[in-house]
Amino acid sequence: MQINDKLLTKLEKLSAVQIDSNKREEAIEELNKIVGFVEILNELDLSQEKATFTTLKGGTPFREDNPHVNDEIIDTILKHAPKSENRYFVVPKIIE
Amino acid sequence: MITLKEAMKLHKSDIAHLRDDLKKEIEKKKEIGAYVEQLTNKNISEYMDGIPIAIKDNIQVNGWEVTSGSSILQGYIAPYNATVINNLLHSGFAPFGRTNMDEFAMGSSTENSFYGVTKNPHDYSRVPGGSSGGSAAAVAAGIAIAALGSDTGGSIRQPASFCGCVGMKPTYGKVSRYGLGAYSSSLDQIGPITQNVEDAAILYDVIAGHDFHDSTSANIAHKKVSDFLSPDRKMTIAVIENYLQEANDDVREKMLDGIKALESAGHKIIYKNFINTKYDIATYYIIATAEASANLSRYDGVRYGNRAQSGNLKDMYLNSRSYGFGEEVKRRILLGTFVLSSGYYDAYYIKAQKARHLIKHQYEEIFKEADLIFAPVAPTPAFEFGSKKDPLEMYLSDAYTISLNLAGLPGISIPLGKNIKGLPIGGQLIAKAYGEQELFDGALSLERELKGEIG
Amino acid sequence: MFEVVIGLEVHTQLNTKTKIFCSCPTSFGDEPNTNVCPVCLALPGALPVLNIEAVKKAIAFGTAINATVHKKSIFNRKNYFYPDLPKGYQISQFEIPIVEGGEIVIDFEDGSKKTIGVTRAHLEEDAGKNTHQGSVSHVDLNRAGTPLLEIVSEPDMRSADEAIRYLKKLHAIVRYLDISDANMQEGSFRCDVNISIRPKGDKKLYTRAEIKNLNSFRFIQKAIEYEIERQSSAWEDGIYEQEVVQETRLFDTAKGITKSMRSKEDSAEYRYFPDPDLLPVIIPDDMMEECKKIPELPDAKKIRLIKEFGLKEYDAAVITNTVEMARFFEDMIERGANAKLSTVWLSVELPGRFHDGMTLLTSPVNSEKLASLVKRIQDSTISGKAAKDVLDYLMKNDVNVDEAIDKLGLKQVSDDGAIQEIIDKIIAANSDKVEEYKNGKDKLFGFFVGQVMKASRGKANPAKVNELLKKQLG
Repeated sequence: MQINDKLLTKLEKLSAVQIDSNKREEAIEELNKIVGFVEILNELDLSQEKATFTTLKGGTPFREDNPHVNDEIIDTILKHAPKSENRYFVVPKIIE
Repeated sequence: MITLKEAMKLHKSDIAHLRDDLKKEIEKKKEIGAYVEQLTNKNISEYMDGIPIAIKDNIQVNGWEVTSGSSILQGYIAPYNATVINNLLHSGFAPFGRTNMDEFAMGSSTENSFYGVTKNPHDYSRVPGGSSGGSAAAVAAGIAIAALGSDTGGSIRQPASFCGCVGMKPTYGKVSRYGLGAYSSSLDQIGPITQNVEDAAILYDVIAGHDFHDSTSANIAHKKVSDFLSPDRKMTIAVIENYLQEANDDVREKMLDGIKALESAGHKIIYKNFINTKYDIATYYIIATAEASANLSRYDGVRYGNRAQSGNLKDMYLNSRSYGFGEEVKRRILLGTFVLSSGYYDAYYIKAQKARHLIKHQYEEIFKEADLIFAPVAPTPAFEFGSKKDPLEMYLSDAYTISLNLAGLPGISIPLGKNIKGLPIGGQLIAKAYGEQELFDGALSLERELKGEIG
Repeated sequence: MFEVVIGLEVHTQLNTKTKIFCSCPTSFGDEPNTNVCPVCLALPGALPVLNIEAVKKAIAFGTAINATVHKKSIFNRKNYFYPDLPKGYQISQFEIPIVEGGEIVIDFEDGSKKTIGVTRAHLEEDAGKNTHQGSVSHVDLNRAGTPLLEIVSEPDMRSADEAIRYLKKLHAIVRYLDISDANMQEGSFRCDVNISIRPKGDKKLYTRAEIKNLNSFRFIQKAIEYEIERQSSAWEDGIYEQEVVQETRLFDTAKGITKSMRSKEDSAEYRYFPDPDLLPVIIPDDMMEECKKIPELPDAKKIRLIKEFGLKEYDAAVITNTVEMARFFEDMIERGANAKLSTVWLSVELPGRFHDGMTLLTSPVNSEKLASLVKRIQDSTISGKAAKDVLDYLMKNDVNVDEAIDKLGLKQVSDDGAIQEIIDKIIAANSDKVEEYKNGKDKLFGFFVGQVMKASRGKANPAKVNELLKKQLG
């Protein structure tokens, strides 16, 4: 699979990350090299293998439904937030 | 530098002196840049007054600026302690200083930090390894008694090898990830970087154990390994032959010394082969980047950290993240986004998860015949700054450490000696899942044997 | 000419005490960012841990709709950026939801029924709240992490009426199970409508529009009606392809129309993958068994009330419409109130006297009082007519039923002698009418009853009056 400029633009949009315009070609080249490399997995016979998402066995642990609040934590975060007002986080509006 | 074990015998007043002396040493050896504070001219971060342990900059300590070596987290003050930090505090230790790292643990050389590079104490023109380069350099340079690092694809073991100290990665799930800034959730583990094997066992015992804050924490009672160390125990150890052949001459030479030492110690050596490391690397870089691409989505400048001032929301996200992340991080995010996107998910992500199963199985097969595996840590000793500009070349240097994380197994890197340039070379022992006792036993026997030989 | 195809997606907030993946209290209306922690703030290093109650409530729901409750299900990450989504992804379920393949039966007044399929129901976390203030937005994460059950129906509905019935039935089930407050105004029961049209007889599914931002049954009805009109007109005018596209539309409550919300190119690509911070949800057998024991549901309760108390189908349906009314009713019965009388007083007389948003739960007359009132009718202490006045009084005054009856002096006269006295007087004063009655003008009986009632100022027991008059007049 080749990553081209169009695909890179789509990936940038999905990940909210942009490559500098003057580094774009280099980035595409590097990404293609890496993608080309990982395709080496096609050499393996994986037909008998189950997709393993974790090396742990069993189910996710359950937590009892008991409330707990730590005011200090939120106060610290609000204090150092990039922009906050009246306990809200403030962000610029979306442009419609 | 006093060992961890020795430091535990100190009185409170002596610990206070120790801390002061350490601060002075850290100031003196500023040029190494092992600590973020050394690179930013700040006082060493402190919390409580126990035996000082250096903490990698991606582990939360209440009140510290904890930034994963990144610009995007400048201004973020951690409001809580990672579980491992609480564990340290309960045992009379204290977090002391933030060690430098590759940004978001993505790297093998600590060249990708927002703060600048850390130098290898053995040769300032060379990297200390990564991503826990700061932790390993601090211990190796005698400006930390011990340190905590994190290992996702070798980030504890490889810097330990490059710097000539001991670095251990626990079985996945043995140490809580709560409070560790996530890189790749199914691969990350926190582990000790120390001057010797016994210190590593002690520090591992302190940080290990079930944590209900972490759903991926192994729900088994922790049995201390440091109380039961048996270096005289004889085991069957499998050497991975194809790894040995592919490594460079220096590494192979030291590995052969290591094999000899293990034999002298009374262990039985057998030879096995693994699949080509290229498959491991390909599998890792698909899974790790996929998970990372989502784990790093929270860094958006909305609630904490560094926000790029912008007129509208879309630009705020784009600018904060594009300016806040370094090149390597952006590259991996884009890669991870790619392998998860529609049309590619099965061909890359699912395929890699299947390969992971194959890799895990490969280890299980060997452990039917052997108690431990012995393999090189890296194909070469520490390389020079800027010598691996090509990202793919850098990835390929993770060849020997990566498969362990994919299989979730424990491993430890022990110094085997130095090459003629004086560069340390490490070898790693690998045990089966939850086999930390065997791991430390074997490591201790190897260390003793080598020390006996070296003198 | 056209057939309408409607599918509904309902997000219902589960009424657990804590959020789905952290121990922050669930809340509504609290000061912003007071119920938050490292997990729901998405701080570095924070990790999710699943709330057991959320799982239990999902099992109960699956059982109630005769669905399969999967012993093993998976949480996935749904990736997109928005300020009310702190992690930049929502933890949801994708390929393997906890509940799959159920059904909800809707009833019509003529007694007919229709089964609506439920494709799936899955657990996920709610986002925070983003409110716009001029050129900025304010982000409050109190709601972020609240457990949601997303319930997706099959596209089985063919009219706004069917859609509303489905939603009301679903609402009742969720309330009967008490797994959610299901308050549409507060946002704990959110409905999205997926609607498309097709030529009658056509089996194919055409382009559907998704309508969001509907927070009342009335608006849902209007929105559906508008969409049907919009889509059919487009088809008839030959501009279907251009006008009707797969998109999200918002309902403008002021204008009564739907408006396009997202531009075509913004097709969401969520890149779902299993969340590596969680392991699969595996329900232990004992939990599964325990949670499958659910309370009596509306349909079953309706059938039982008809059977046990002889209620009419219509009345039973009204009583079981909401769990609050059903509980109220059952409490009255438990206290000895007559079922048929209780039906009238509970479903007509009492609610008829509510004002200013009053409900059964905030009514000054509770089930105990209403039961007492009904019992006083049953034991002839007061007439049904007098009871209405007593109820009016009780709505405004905090006294018990007997005190109210005394205060208003409405105690019924049932004493034979007293009534006979009045009858004698009336008969004496209306001898001509008595004559007419005895000669066949049967209708005059009502006149005598009326006169006796008037003379007794409404207090005479009507049944007694009838009995004694009949005896007298023949």
